Amino acid sequence: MSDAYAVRDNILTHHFSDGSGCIFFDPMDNSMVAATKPVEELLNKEKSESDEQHCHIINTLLIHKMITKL
Amino acid sequence: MIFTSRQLFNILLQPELALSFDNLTLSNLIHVLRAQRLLAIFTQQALEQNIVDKFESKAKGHLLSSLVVVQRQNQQVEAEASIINHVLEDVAEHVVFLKGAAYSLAGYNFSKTRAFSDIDILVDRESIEKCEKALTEDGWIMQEISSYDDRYYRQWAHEIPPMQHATRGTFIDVHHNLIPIVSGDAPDVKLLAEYITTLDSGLSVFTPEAQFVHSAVHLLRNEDYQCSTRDLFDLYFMIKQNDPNFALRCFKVGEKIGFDYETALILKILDSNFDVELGDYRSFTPNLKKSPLRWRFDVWLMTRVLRPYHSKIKGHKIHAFYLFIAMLRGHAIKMPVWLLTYHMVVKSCRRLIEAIFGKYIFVKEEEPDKQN
Amino acid sequence: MCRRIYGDRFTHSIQPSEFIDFRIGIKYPNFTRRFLKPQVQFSSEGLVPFTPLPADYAFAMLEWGMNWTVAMYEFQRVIIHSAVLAKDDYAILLPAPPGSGKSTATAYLENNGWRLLSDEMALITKNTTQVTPFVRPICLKNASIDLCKQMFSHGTFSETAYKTHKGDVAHMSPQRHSIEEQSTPANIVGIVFPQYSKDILLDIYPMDKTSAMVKFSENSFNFNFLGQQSFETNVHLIENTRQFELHYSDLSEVNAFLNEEFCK
Repeated sequence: MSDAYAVRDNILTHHFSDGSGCIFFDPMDNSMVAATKPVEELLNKEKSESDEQHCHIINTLLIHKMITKL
Repeated sequence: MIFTSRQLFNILLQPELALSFDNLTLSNLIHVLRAQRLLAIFTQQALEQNIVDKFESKAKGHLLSSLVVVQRQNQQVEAEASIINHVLEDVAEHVVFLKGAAYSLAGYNFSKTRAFSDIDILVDRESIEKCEKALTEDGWIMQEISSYDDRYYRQWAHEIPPMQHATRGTFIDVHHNLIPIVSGDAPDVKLLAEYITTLDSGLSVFTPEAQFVHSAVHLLRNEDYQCSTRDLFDLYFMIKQNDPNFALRCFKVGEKIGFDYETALILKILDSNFDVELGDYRSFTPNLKKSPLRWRFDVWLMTRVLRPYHSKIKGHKIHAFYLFIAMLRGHAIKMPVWLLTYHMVVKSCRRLIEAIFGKYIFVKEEEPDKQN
Repeated sequence: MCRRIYGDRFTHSIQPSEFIDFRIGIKYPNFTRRFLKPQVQFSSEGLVPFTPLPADYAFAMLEWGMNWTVAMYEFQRVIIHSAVLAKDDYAILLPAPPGSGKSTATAYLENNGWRLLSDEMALITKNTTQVTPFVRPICLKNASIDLCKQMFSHGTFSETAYKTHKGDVAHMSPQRHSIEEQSTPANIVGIVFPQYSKDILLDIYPMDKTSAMVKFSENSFNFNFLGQQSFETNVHLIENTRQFELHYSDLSEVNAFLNEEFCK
């Protein structure tokens, strides 16, 4: 089973051209979260409990109100 | 070049007058307006009249930069106010946003030109300690002040010492009345409740008339007037953005809550400085409770002291004297004489030491360069 | 001191055609402090932002005050805490915290073929890679002061302010060739994060853009106020430049690397 998330409307994202990852930015409070995966993979990954780093990034994005669970 | 106050007032409302200045005069103007916190007003007027692009490119850069901080604050204030409201709504009977934050939340056009250093709120006195506790639990930290000043705030004034949020850095001032209780003139807060209104956002502010009265009171009961022209312009813009009967309605509110004198005084000062529709405000003055001599003194002093103050403005030296008189007046209004004497003795000992050894003798050593 | 360090850029006469960006000053805070444990105080645009410091620190305070003034009031450009050097039109940013050896590296590079655009603050036009020169003295600290005096005996140095909150501080005047180009912007092609360590061989670490963006953004001065504009400019810069971390002890190796990587 996979969890899917969507980026909130007010959040800016950028996927770096070297494929190293992506960045989320909230213009309201200037908070920034960087992730070392592409946005699509990050938001639609098949759930894997052993992938701590993935869970950590998702939780960080949720705490900063940058994404919502679908 | 030395400017006159009248010239600056004209330039602020008609920025095209500055288009004929040479670069040095223009940079002097920007310097004076910036020091007096009036530059954003000038820039906003220039934008609305579509003339910003006509200024020399460096000047244009400075003008546009003057709006950036204000824009950022306006962008953030609703989010910040919502958080504060959420923290306090179950703890206080009312949470009313005041002054700069209120202007921004209410969407007034002139709030685009006004930076504010903190968010001011009014809560009921009985809830003050619970509010302080709730804010502390939300991450707000009380500012470090002397025990004398702490007592001044809590016992004699109408607010608790300022607090700052630990991570967001915002400052908040929590009041339980509009002016210090110890002055003897603080209004009955039940009367104030009649003028609370809720915005579409769910946040509470005072009605425009009550805001005008509060701003007038705040301005005319101050003791430091070095940068007060900005506040006078707020009141001017409030009059301008409302209908011709607004001034009369403001006076009625002032009368109801015991500030008819201050309201009439500010209307008189606005009338002598600006071209505004105020109705027949002169008919208000015969019923005011202060003596004619007091009225004449206040009109004379406040008309002068609310003008811009800067070494590049004509009359700078005599203005320093007016500021001193206004400082004494402000202290006398705030406190009964016995308390004023005690307060002045404590403060004057400190000032004497500062005068000999320097203003910062009482300040803890800390990093002077904030950025490095 | 101003005349010594700024040369003929320090002047008493101002023409009506000249636009003055900021008015700043250094003076004694009051009569007593002129004589008793002399102190000086910095003022900028009507504000006195810092507590007074010993009079010996006057020139250092003036320089710090100028940085503060620009950071406080300049919002037409994105400001990054970084040295900026250029060769022809190619500019390199060297963002670095205190203790990384940035200022010594800046002085070395300026004396070896590069022109100085700034020692502390990169002024970047929004959404571009263009950087505007802000040519002022290089701030040297502690061991770097004597090292630079030895390496560049022809240089002009201020007196040293001892035991400031940053340690011992002295300023080195920019070179003539940097001043002559002070009105010529440059195009940023590289962002290099230097870290000095004694007696090591040069180690070059190409950075991935995500890590570079995070590290670069930590050096943004006016990010808080410019918000989205600052974010977008930083992204544009990262996408259109190459980024490296350098661990070095020999500055000639750093110079050789920069020339090889960015100037061919």
